[in-house]
Amino acid sequence: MGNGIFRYLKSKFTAAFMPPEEPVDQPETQTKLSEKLMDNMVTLREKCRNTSDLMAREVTVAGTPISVLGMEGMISYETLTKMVLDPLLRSEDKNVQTPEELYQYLRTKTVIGMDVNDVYSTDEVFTFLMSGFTVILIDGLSKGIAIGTQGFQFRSVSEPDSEVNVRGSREGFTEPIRINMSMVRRRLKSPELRFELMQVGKVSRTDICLIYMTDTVDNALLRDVRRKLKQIKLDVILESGYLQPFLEGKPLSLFSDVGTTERPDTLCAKIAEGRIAILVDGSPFALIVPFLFSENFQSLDDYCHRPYYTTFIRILKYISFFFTILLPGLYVGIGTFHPELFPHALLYNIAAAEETTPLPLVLEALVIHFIYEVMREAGLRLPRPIGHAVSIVGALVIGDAAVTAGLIGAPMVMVVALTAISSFVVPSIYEPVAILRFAFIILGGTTGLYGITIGLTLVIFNMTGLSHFGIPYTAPISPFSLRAQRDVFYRAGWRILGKRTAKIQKLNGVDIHETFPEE
Amino acid sequence: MILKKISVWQFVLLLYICRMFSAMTYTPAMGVGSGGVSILIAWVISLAVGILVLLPALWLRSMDQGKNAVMLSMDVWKRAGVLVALLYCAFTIMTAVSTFAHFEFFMTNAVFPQSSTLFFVITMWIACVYAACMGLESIARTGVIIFAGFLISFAFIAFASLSQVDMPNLKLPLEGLGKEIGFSVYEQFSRNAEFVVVLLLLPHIKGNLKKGIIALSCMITVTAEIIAFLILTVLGDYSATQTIPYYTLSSVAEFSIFQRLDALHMTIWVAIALVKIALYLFLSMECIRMLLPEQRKKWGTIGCSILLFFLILPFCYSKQAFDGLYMVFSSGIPSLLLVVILPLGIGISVKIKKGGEKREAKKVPAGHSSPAADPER
Repeated sequence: MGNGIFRYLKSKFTAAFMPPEEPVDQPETQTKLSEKLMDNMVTLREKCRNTSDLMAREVTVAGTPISVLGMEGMISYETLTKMVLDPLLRSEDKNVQTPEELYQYLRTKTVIGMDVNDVYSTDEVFTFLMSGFTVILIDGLSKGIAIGTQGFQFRSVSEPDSEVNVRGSREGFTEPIRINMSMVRRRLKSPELRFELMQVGKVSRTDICLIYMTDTVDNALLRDVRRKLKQIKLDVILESGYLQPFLEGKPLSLFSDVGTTERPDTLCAKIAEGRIAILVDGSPFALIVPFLFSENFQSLDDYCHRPYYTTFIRILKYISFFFTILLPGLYVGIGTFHPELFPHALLYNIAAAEETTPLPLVLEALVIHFIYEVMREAGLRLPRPIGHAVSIVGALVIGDAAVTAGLIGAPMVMVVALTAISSFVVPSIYEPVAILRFAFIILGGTTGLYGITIGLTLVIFNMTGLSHFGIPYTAPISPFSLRAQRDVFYRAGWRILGKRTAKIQKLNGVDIHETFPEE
Repeated sequence: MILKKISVWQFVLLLYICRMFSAMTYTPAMGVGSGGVSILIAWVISLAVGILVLLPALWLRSMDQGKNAVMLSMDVWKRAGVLVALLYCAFTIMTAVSTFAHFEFFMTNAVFPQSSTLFFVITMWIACVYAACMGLESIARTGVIIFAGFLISFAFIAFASLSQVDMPNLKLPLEGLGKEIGFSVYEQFSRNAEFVVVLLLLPHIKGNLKKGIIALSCMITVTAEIIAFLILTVLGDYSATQTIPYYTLSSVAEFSIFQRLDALHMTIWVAIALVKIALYLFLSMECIRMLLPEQRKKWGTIGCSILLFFLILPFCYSKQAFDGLYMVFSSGIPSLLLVVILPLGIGISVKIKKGGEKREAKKVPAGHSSPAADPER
């Protein structure tokens, strides 16, 4: 605990007193393309260590040697034939004689695809090749043409597993970034919607895309997100989770002020409120910044159901959240230190059940929760049919055998079951919830309600201290915004919600401009 | 440096819960002689006194919204300003110590009589240092959440006690009422360390501070009246024998399935104590940081945290030291000096300085700059 606090203090001091690191530009190491095709091919093969998946077909078109390059498995052969090979063969009849004329013919006279780019260096050639482009190099020219012929295999669009909704779209993000971008564009047909592509990761050169609405986004916030992304110094980025800590205000905090979603409709709703989304190629999880604590309790279904039912569900979710982190700790704490709080009848029942068990309440709770977490983790990683079997074994072991054997009291099983079910009501904050549950059991078991109170207050401090990008994580609960409450603990009807767009920068206590003053 | 700001309502609620910490530890022993009515009247008068006492703070704010009393004193008094900063630092850290000592006394006497003092000192100190390091915004936001918790707990206890209210316990005053009221009003003023918080947080507050102060005073008065009324009518003369009568009141309150509500009171009280100590520790850190250069400001944070730990120990272990500290605060001299005399002095000095600058500006005709200011000469 003490060590953690000192480390936290150190990180706080470092953050407060050290000047922010400036992004360091990579030195120019790009090799320009040569006019000689042979030299270019040698350089390219050397640079890629003669990798097996590099396909290079050298042919002569209109008397000029050219080379058609592509990566195996990354391009569509049908598109390649229609858009590249056919126009190349037809160029023989068009009176094309010099390399420049061949280049001009391919570049301007033929419709060989929408995505056509000039390349001037071997690095550019590689970047396009790795992205599924076909590159044509012409002998006698120190440049080439990259044509979009992507055709790699990917998982089809399907319903997201982690965010299942009763109503609403069944589409979830998939792995290729372009398909995810198109899913967003299809839902927001506004000219204000902007996609901004960039690459991160020194080795992986992963494509990421910033998505925002130019009319609602805060420019200071946008600049700050861009700056943070450019400062990332990772070699390989395979998932959006790799970027998350770089965008978080306090990576050591229990809670994250960067949200994730697998649903394009949820993402569009957030973008419309002035937030910035980040798509990462190869990941179906999009990041959302900034993200508020209260958003963990919202889902798309809330906006499809009638407001009174949504309000009921919201309250249920908040109660479940507190149940799941506090119930075992409170049960242990009150049972051990403050039994006078229980009504007499309940106290007798608990005492009778616990009399037969050999372990103290705190150990009982820790053991049973530990077993539960083991079962959960095993069920999660295993194939689904086996996962179900693990769950059944777990239920039998914990629920029946342990009580019959007199290892664990029946009330404790009920507490664990209730806690476990409650934790699934708000799955997006499972990580802090799981840790806090154990922490509160220990606090309750060793110091009673005093420890739980101190722990809970510190958790609140931890949450309220998160104010990244000048936007408090706990807004609009604290700082309190009365108008924003229409979509926090209760949901107002669409006639009220639709009156004004809930821009995030309009919330009380939000101070983006002061936190990141314009340069 | 970016100045962290909180809204005036966050500020009001933060000070409200800090004041409630003292209100909940109130012992109406001196009010029993006149049936306790004197304290009810004294709270109403304290409302007016509280607003009057804060007039110097409002005056300072009208002069410069971006500076607190310490900053202004350093502007006008230069080196003497350092002394002012140290005085405010000493006051805030001693208030933190006093709150800590009260908290520890409550825990080891009323809740866990057989517990170790050191356990509470260490755990609470760690929590307070962490909370203070989170900064003013975090303290204020947490304060609002704790305020909601306090309201719920207070409503529960008040509602559950209503059935036991015995109006004859409110005896009519016989003699010496004026003296008792006067004494109570002065005691309320001297125990109200939150006046100093206003002076130190002046540049951090966004919004109409005048409205905020009036709302704060009214909220405190209403709540304190209810607490005093419940203690006097439910517990009667028995309240005079209790160290912390509000805790006793929560013990006798029974509500639905809960056999007693003292645990609920204890949880809220601990949370409020944590917020209050964190606030005062943060303010003491701020006072010291103002005196230190940019690179060494972190030493202010570390120094104040360590100082708090070593100051707590004697006041928690020695009843004499605890009583001595209580006497110093109860004398009202620290409050009078830091809330009224010093701010007035600072305000007058600022006025004089500004007046002098205006006269200087008038003496130099427009477009006629001094030779030093004109590099061409």
